This record gives sequence, C-alpha cells and structure tokens, in this order.
Amino acid sequence: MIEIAGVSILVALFIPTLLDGVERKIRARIHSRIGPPILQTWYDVLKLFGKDFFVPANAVHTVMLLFMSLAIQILLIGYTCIAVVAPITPYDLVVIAVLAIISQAAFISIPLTIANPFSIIGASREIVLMLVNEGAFLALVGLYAYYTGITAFSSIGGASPTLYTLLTIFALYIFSYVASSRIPFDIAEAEPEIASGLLIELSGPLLGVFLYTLHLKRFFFKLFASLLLLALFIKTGALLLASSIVLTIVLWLVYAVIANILGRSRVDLASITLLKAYLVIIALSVLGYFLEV
Amino acid sequence: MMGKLGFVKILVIAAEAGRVTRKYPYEPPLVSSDFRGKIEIDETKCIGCGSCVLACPPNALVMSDEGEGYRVLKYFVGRCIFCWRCIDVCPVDAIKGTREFELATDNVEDLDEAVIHKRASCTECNGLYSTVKQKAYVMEKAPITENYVDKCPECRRNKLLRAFEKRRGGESLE
Amino acid sequence: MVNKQIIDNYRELALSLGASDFAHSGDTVYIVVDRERLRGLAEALYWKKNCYFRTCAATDETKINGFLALYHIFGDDRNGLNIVVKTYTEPNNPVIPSISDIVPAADWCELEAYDLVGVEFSGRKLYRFMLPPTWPKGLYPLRKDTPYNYRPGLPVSGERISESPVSAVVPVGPYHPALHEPEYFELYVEGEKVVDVKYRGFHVHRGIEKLAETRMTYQQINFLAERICGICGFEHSVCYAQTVEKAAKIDVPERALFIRSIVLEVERIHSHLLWIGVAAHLLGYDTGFMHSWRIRELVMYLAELLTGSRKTYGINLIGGVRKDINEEKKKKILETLELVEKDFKKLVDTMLGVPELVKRLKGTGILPREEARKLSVVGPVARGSGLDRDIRRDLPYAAYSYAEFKVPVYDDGDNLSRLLVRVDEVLGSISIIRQLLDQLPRGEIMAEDIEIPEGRIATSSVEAPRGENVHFIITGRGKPYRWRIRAPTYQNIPALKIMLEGENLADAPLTIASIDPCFSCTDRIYVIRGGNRYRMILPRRY
Repeated sequence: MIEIAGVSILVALFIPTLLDGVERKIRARIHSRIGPPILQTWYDVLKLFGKDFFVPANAVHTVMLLFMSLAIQILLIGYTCIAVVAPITPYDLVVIAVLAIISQAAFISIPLTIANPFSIIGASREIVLMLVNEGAFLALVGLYAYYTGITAFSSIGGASPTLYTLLTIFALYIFSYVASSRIPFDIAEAEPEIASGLLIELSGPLLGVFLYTLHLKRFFFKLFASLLLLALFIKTGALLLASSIVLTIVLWLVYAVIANILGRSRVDLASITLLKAYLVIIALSVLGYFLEV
Repeated sequence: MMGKLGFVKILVIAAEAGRVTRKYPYEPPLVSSDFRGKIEIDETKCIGCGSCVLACPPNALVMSDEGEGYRVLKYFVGRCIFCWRCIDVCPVDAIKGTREFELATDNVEDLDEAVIHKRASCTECNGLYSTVKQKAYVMEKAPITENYVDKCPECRRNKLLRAFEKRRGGESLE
Repeated sequence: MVNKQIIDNYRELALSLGASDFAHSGDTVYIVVDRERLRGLAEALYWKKNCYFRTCAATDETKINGFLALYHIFGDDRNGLNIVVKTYTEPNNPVIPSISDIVPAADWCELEAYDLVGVEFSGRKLYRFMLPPTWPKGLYPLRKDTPYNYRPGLPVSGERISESPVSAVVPVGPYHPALHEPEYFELYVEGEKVVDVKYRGFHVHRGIEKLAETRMTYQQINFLAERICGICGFEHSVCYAQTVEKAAKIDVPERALFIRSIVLEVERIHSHLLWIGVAAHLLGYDTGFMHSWRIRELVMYLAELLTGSRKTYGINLIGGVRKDINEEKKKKILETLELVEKDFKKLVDTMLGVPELVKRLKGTGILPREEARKLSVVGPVARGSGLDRDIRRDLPYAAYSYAEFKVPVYDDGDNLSRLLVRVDEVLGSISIIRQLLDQLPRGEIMAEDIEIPEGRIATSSVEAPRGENVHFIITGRGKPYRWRIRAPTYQNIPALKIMLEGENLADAPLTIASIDPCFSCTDRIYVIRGGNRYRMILPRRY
C-alpha cells in the first residue's frame, strides 16, 4: 500500500509543473499561436535554479518563508497521499485542512516581507481575496465532514452522495480555482497593473521556488476537492487516490481553458462577487440538508 | 444569442482561425511582393554623380574623396530606412531594390558597401574633378565638346573668363 | 468653401478687439494683435466663438523682422476654420501675457515656448518643462543662432520617486507597463484609491523640429515626419506634406489624394486594432489581445502590399505619392477588408460579452464633457466625452470630402465610451476605404513643377487615430524656416489627471492607455540627457 502512496507523491511532485506546460500550450492554441513545448515550464524552473542566488534588499525573511512554504506544501501533498491509502489519525481531514491554511498563510506572507510598493499592493489584494476564500474553505470542509461523517479516509465506507454534499464540493472547486490565482483572480500579480505584484522582487532560484510552490499549490487544492468528491463513490484508498489524480489532471485542463476566456477582475469586484456566491451555495446546501433533498 | 455565456464564442473564433504563427526562421517569412528591403548598387552602372546622396533622408549614402584620385560612394545599411528614394533619383538605374531584410550580423563591417570611382583629371591643370564615368555620361547625353568636358570646373571658368578678356582686349585694340 | 459672412464676423470681432492686421486665405484666418490685446482676443475666440485651441508656436523671426513671434492657433471646427493669432515681442525682453488661465489647453505649449524659444509669459508660473534642470540658462534650442548639433555637457543624473507623508506613491514607469514607451506617472494612493497624479514626460526628445529646420530638405522631411510616431507616422507625413502644399499652393493630383486617404484609413484600422488588443491585455484578457493582433496582421500585410513597408510607409512626397494602386491590389484590399470586418465584428461581440471586461470599462476613467472642452482634447477622447469633432469631416483634407461617414460620439466619457468610439471608427474606416476605392479617379499621382516660395505660412491638421495632428510651417529656402508639430497625445495627457483622480489603482493603467497615448510623438522636440528630481506637474483643475 505504501508503495502506491510513494509513487503518487512522486507523480504529484513532478506533474504540476508539467501541467503548467500543457496549460501554456492550451493557452497558445486558444490564442491561435504555436506556443512553447510542453516541458517548457520545467525548463524554465530548472533554468531559474541555475541562476545567481540573489536575495532582494532586507528580505532575509522572504527566503525563509519561501522555503518554509515549499516544505509545508510538499509535506501537505505527502501527508494527503499517505492518509488516503493508509490513514494516519482519525482526524486526517482536519489535519490536512489546517496544514493547507498554514501553507496559504506562509505563501501570502512572502510578498509582505519585501519593501516594494507593488509587492505590498499585490499581497494586500491577495489577503482580501483570501479572507473570503479561506473562510469559505473552512466552512465547506466543516459542512462536508458534518454531512458525511468523514473525518479521515478510513471512514469513507459509509458516505453516499447527496445533493447538498455535492453542492459543498462544487463550492470547493470554486475555491480551488480562486486559490490557484488564475484569471480572473490573478489580481495579486496582475502584470500590466502592478508589474507582477507579489513576484516583482523575486528572481533566479527564489522565483523558481516560488513558481514550483505555486504549481504544487494549484495541484493540491484540485486534488483535495477531487478526493472529497470521489470519496463518495470509491471506497478503496488506492483506487481513490489514483482516480483523484486523474480527475485533477483533467480539471487542470478545464481550468486552463476557463482562465483563457475570461478577463482579470478587480479586488473589490472579485471579493464581493465571490462572497455572494459562497453564501448562496452554503445557504442552499444547509437548506438542502434540513429539507433532506 | 448565447446571452451571458457569449464570451465562450472566443473558442470558436480560435478554432476557425487555426494556428497563425509560423516557425520562423524554419519557415519562410511573410513578405509581400512589394516589400522594400536593402538596396543593391550596380557598380558597373554607377557614375558617381551623387544624386542618391542628396536625396537620402538618413544619410545612409555618403560620398567622399579618398586616397589618390578616388571618389567613394558608401552605403551603410545600419542607417538605411529602406525608402528607396535613391532608386527614384538615380539617373542611370544603377540602384536596385531587393526584398532582403534579414540583415543582422555580428560584424558591423558586413553592413558597409562601397563603390569606388576613379576621378577624372583635368587636361589643363591635372587637378581632380568629378569621376571618369560621369564625364563619359555627360558626353554621351549632352552635345558638349570633349575639349570642354576634359577640364575641371575651375579651368573651365578660367578659360571662359580668359575668352571674355581676349574679346574685350581685341575690341580695345581695334 | 467657407462662408464669407463668417469671415466678415471674424474680421469685425478682431478689429473691434484691437487687432492690427487681418487676412484670410483658404481655410485659415490670420490675425495680428498687440500683446496687450491678446488676452481679450483669446477669450473672445475660445469662449464666445467657442473655438477649440490647437496649439501655439513660438518662432525666432529675428532674421526676418527682428522680433520673436508667437502664433496661437485656434480652430473653429464647426465652420471649418483655422484661426492663427500672431503676437510680436522684442528678443531682448520677450514678454507676452499668458492665456493659460483663459485657455487651459494652452498651458503646455506656453511652457514649451518658454523652454525652447525663451518667450516669457507674464501672469503665470513658469518652470522647466522639457529641458533638464541643469540646462544652461539663456540657451534656447529653437533660436536660430543655436546650432543644431550643440551639446552642452550636462551631468547625467537619476530621478527619485517622491515621498509623501500621507499617501503611498506608486510609480508607473519610466516605461509604461503595457505600451512599453517611456513615460513616468506617479500615482498617490490611499488604499487602492488614486488621490493625486504627477506626470513626467519628455524623456525621448529627438530634436526633430530643429533637425528639419537646419539640415534637411523639404522632400527629406517627409520621411522624418513619418518617424515622429511609431504607430500613426503616416498621418504626420501627410500633415507635413499638405501643410507645405498649402503654403506653396501646389495642386496635388486627385488620385494621389485618394491614395493618401486610403492609406490613412488603413493606418487607422491597424492602430485601433492595436489599441483594442492592448486594452484587452491590460484587462488580463490576453486571448482578446492575441486575436485583435491576429486580425491586425492582415491589415499590416495589406499596408505592406500598398506601400512597400508594414510601417513607415514612405510613400509621401510634397506634391503627391510615390506608389500607385493597381486593379490587382484593389481586389486584394477589398478581400482583406471583408475578412477583417467579419472577424473584427465577431471578436468585438465576444469581447464585450466577457463580464469582467465590461464591468471594468464602464464608469471608469470618466472625463466630463466640460473638462474635455476646457482642455480642447482631441480624437476618441473628445468623442468619448461628447465633443463632436473630427477633422476629417470639419476641415476635410485628402479625399475625405468624397466619402460619407458618421462621426461616432458617446456621452459617458468613460473607458467604455472611448473603446466604442474606436470600434465604430474601425468599421467606419473600412467603409471609407471601400467608397474611395470605388471612386478612385485616373491620372497622375505626382504633381509636376514643385516650387516652394519663401516666407509663406500655413497650418493644417490631420485626424490621426489618436486625434488631430497639427502642423504649422513657415517656409524657408530649401527647408522650412519653422516647423511646429503638435501630436494628439500632447493635448490629451493633461486630461488624465481628471480621469485618474478618485479612480481605483487597478484601473489606472487602463485609463492611462485609454487616451491611446503616444509618448514619443509628444516628446519630439529636443534631446534630454538625464534630469534629476524634476517633476512636471499636470495642470490644476480649472
């Protein structure tokens, strides 16, 4: 069993950056361009690692946070993969949710430690968006656990799909889209507005780490939502993990298309719209639970 | 028609347009039949009259006298704006336009071209003037005696002045 | 032509306000007025006669009559008239009363005249505007005794971002993040709201006017004029050529005029497509950006086929054009236009369906009509703010009097209005090209016998994609004695302060781009080498 988890972890660490390459190819296709080779993002990241290690002025904390963020992200993926095939505690779901929140917090602290107006504006935009998004995340995971009784992947046996559970999972997918900071929610790094915002002072290996962490993050949130969805149908851990990874890959491609047919939102517009959407979905779901639809 | 989801139509537009970029330089570039590129000067036709130098807006064509009896027309592609005014004004059609535009090089000397003309020498004072070819061109086009064209502008003027003087002198003698 | 009654009205007005001379030629009225009477006349023209302000041109005429002269150029667009008001001043005490409090649109050009010709304006604050602060006092680049290649050895120095105790300073520049042109805006923000704006431009003065006045010939300048702007250069070369033609009274063959108009409209289409792409990019809609530019590529190819070059067409000369349109090309134009029209309509439909795009265009960057009028803004910025002005219709040049077209006017003054004006204009241009190709007359494309007498004055305008270009020329021997260029962006940048204040930071780049700025054409006049801690402050709100 543990081999399956090991293989999954390796796949989950390699494939996000590859998927970003595929996303670029899809974007190019929608743009009617040829686009770069599929492995381009990997080439980019590896090339960045080969560059001079340059730390921006007064940004020692940035480096620390960046590596911490990468470590938590890897830990998170590792923990999730293992917990699915071989449950570690009876509250794995809670542990994963908490780790996810910590990783997000670490991630968003990175630009805040850099003294650059664009970086700060980018970070403050991301925080506004995250307040809405993370709040919804916790509420949704809580609701899910409450509806299905799943607190760890050892207890997936009894759960069955209901409309109100599916609604929470749908909202979790919205969450994963927003958390992946794709258009229209890439307001924190809006290239033409605030010159890449939170990325502005990062270069070389630091930028490489940042990008890789971002890819892992994108992968994880999709994987997590997929796991919760498929847990309602698939009852063996190994099969659940494998099929979730496949679903995540498919989703990635779908997200790539969506990101390319929309424009960038504005921080005030985005957070309000998002808040409304979450509240409506959660209300519907709770209503559904009490009416037992 | 599709109401609020009308923006999805961009996928149809993209599919219809297909792939429009090219794998340049592995595929030929899109250059139309009328494209103005680098010019080529035919040194056998050029007479070194300098019309192109006067017309050239960015001074990509310059002319200078160099060494012992040579006049050099220099073309520096780096300054050229590919307007082809030189082609318009050349009296002997010595300049030809091409569609060449891939002119990048790691050696700046590749961007220089020159036509070297031998200057004509005056039969009277041996001074240098114009070019041998321009002299031939003038003789071919205009009914001027060889005797007149063979002299440099200064000698020509002196000769004319002397002729006036002689006539006046003759008149006073009579 | 222009109604005689209107000219007489102007004559009466000018003479009653103490003008010392009045003349009229073609579509231009010339008035000479004493310094003391200038302000009264300016007020009457700008506010009573409701004329727009085009620009002013200071000229060193010491070699002709021993004076410095200032030409204020007004435009009575409704009656198709240019009004040139000339004021003399002595070179040893060159003071002229400022009209910038009456005519806010004159603010920049007065500062420019002060910097480059050394005309002092009384009744206003004067400060270094174009030249670097370390530039020697008393050295005026556009005075005739200053050699064109004189370079005072200026120290190279940097600029620092200002600091403000109240609000955060966000620098936009020194390169515009999307247009990739040199400009520098300082946005003062509180939270995400812009509370103040400062602009510093003129990083890329190229000394074009001086160069033309000193070391080029009439026909060579056509190619220089084309390089004033990288996007709408052809408009400048047409404007230059037709100003000289007007001054020298050269009859240009009709076919040449038609070809000019056709190529001008081709340029408008590609320029607007470029802008629409950039706007989409600024709104994070890169797909729209790429497809807009994909369509533009067809137009660029067409331009190359018609002229020999994708940009900097190089087909204009004084007296006509250098390249004819044959039947085969005519067919190709019509085919391409059909494709472009179909694709463009589809793309715009789709773009305006993207929810974020419309939300962010509507109601942002508002320029109210009155402010637009005060600043005499031009082009799509004016038409987006409800000012119905278009030189193509009001003072027809080239072959525009043969085509029928509607001037799109939107009243909201926001970014969406300016976008819609441009969208309508693309379709309008396509229709104009079709009409003109249909009526294309036979004949020569180049006038014979081109003679340009000295000492003639002319001004003319061309409606570029960004607004009107104004060229003013006093002819000289073999080259212009004075050549003054006013690019459209020069007139529109002051309006940005009004558009940006109170705006969301996220919308600032789009709003700046919404005037379709062309910083290099605005900055065409003189070489700047560095400059430190020097700021140009946008005009106050009047």
